[in-house]
Amino acid sequence: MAGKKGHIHPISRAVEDIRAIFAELGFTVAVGPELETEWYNFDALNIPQDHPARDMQDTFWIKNPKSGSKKQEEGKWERILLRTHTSPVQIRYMEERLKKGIQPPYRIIVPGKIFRNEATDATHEAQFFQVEGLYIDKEVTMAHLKGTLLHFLKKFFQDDAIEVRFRTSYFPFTEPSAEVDMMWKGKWLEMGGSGLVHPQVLKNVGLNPGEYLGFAFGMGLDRLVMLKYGIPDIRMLYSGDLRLVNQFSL
Amino acid sequence: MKISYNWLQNYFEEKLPEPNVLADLITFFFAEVESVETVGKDMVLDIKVLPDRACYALSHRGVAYEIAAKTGLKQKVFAWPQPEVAKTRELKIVVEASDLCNRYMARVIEDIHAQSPSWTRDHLEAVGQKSISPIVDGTNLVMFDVGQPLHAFDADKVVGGLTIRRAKKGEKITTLDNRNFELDPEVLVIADDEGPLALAGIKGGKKAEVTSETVNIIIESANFNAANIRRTSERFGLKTDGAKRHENKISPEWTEVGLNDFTAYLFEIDKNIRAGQIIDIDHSDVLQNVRIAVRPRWIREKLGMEISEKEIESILNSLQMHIEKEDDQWTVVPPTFRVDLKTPEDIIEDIGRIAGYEKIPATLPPLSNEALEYPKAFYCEWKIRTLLSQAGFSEIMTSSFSASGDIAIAKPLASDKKYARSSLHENFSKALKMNALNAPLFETDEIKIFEIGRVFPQSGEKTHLAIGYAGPKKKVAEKINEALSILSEKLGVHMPAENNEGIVEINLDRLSEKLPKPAAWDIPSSDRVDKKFEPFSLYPFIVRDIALFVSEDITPESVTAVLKKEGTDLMVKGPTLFDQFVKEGKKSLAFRMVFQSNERTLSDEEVNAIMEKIYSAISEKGWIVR
Repeated sequence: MAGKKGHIHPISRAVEDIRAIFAELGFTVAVGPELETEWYNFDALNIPQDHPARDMQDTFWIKNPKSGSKKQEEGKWERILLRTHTSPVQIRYMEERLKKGIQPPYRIIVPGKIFRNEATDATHEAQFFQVEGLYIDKEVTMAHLKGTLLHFLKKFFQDDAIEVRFRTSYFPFTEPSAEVDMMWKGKWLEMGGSGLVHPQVLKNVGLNPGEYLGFAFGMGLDRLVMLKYGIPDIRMLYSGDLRLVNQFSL
Repeated sequence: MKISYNWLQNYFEEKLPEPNVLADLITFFFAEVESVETVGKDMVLDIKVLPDRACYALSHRGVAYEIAAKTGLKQKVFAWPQPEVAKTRELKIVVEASDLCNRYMARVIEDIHAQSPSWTRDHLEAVGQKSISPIVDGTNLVMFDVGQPLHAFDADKVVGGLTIRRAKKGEKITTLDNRNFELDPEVLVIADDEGPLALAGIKGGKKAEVTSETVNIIIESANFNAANIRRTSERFGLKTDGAKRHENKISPEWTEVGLNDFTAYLFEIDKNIRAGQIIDIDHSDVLQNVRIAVRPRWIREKLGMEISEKEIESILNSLQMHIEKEDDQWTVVPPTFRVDLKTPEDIIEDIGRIAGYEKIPATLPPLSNEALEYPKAFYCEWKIRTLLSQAGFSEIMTSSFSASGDIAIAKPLASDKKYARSSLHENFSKALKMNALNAPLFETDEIKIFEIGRVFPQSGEKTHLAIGYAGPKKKVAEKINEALSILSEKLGVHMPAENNEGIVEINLDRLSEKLPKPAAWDIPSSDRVDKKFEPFSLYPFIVRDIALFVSEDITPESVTAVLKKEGTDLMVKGPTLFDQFVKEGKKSLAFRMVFQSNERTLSDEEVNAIMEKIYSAISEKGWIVR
């Protein structure tokens, strides 16, 4: 069977689809480490130590007697973990831009693997993919957030009938926060979290919240893929099985 | 938190919306309602109160406050009759650890001979609690009503006074649920002259336990340090209802409300109780209303929706917030129990959700025509993905966890997931083997796969590429080298890699550094067809080959048709022609067939029976099985 082409994993394919949709809106891609520090994963995102908000994400901590829980200089924590969301890349990206002297606007999407310490079943995996979006500028509104999400979901599912609604929610790194639901094929589906970037997060990276603001959102990439293609079990995506992969073209 | 519909209704003169309507409403403006269930004559809403609102909303009163704001129904304010202060035994309270105890209130109540009325039992059962005794029921009732945890000690079992202090190293306590804990100064306890009586704010101890015989109590209502309570309750695995409320930083004003409501409750069901002097040791900051500056214009700008000043004002008032106006500069003063409100954004969220997020229009932000720059590593991965898939390799993803490695997980999910993988090899080679066994399902004898993923060796996180080939032994080295040379050629970098049983693994970080900056995104986009996944069988399959002689004019297709017909639906792949030659005027054809069921493991006998039918169909045609 010489000349027969291989297949790209549906998660990768979705990453590329999302990249292309957001490129039209002026968003580029940012990436960051999967092994993260407590500071970037929690503190910098306004999730302090000993705060009930930490219960929202079951964390895989790394057993590392050397780093312990000692504080570094600058009050940054040294404990290491497998990142529980792609949001730390928001922080890393903004810091890096500012270090280079580049002020907003910033427009990025962050596709990447994340980890949650929870039991696995057909809809839960301890590792999965998330796609994060961040837009920082001088005039950003919840309406922009809703418009961007609606545009994205319509394009991704190739269905102009899709509707989006917000429900009130809480994320330490956004205020106001909203849960995002999508109406698709007659059903409301939970798609992810979103909101306007919390002023504390902007302060933490060195931006003036009086001057800049932004929106951020996070969605399960696996969920997007499973809905789009009708894949019933999330574990199939990470079993290395060509019986799944070979069903998808280039 | 479980909220009883009847209990909630007590807060309103007017009728609340029906439970299901109320649940929908709550889901949109306040918190997700996980279920609505019938309990006796009551309906119970299980509300997932969000962490920021847990400081005031883990209570019926808090939820009533929210509903009043959203619906405009008027929330009742209660003033329960209190007993006269009576002479009781003396109560001595010392708060030693004032850094961990913001406010401590207590009083002695003697001669309690009440029975819990049936409405108490109904209320408690609705929220999933058992009625235990009038005293314990009273503490629970107050906690679920106003959100203030209380604790009652049997006054006859307490020796001397109460001290709120850090535990001494080695001190022990047996809690009400008969668990033993060894304590240290990280733990805040309530102790009498002999030792710890309770883990402050978390769980009572056995020693001064209130039982059905108890008639004299010391009732405690306190405000403890939230972070300390959280640490201790996590450490001991005691996620009690009380700890949950304390760790969310309730306002110290509820300390007093809690104590008074409890006293009033006992007094209501037993007029002969003797309630002693109230002790109040208050180290909390003087209750001061937070003042938050907002401008109506900001509110509109951030929400991106039309909302008049009048509407904003009426929403703020419905949430019991006062407004001081100075032109377009407003100062909003929330009630002191709204500990969660600190910034203008908090106020904006409240206005948005009460006005209704559905009123926010969907608009795209202004477009930019700046050229987009992509991270080198991301581009490099896509370049490789494209090149390898064009060369016939398929991309797989395997677990980031492995049985061996350098970076150990503190609480792994399973013994084969104890580490963050230090290379792709362990899981990738398993996948290669599995896919090689399934090769007949893909109608091929070679499996070509690759994976791109993060790995975590001692030297730090890296991105690796693994390329794998399984097939005829003599082709392994050739195929792997072919893939490597395509990458070397197209990327313009040398690819040193050692082939290990058909697998090579390469560090991509070094490689992508060497690549030039991508000028533009030149990766071919997908055709984006609306492909639907087809479920595959997880049961084993059986492979059968058949070779036959036919006359020269017979085409393979005509044989295939016969095989297919007799092969039934259980033939999931094939017949695939894998060999043909002509010898002495006869044509030899060989086919491969794969049998598999979606529902069960096929037996050899079943497939043999199918093969028998195939053989007889073949001989009817005059063809000869070799």
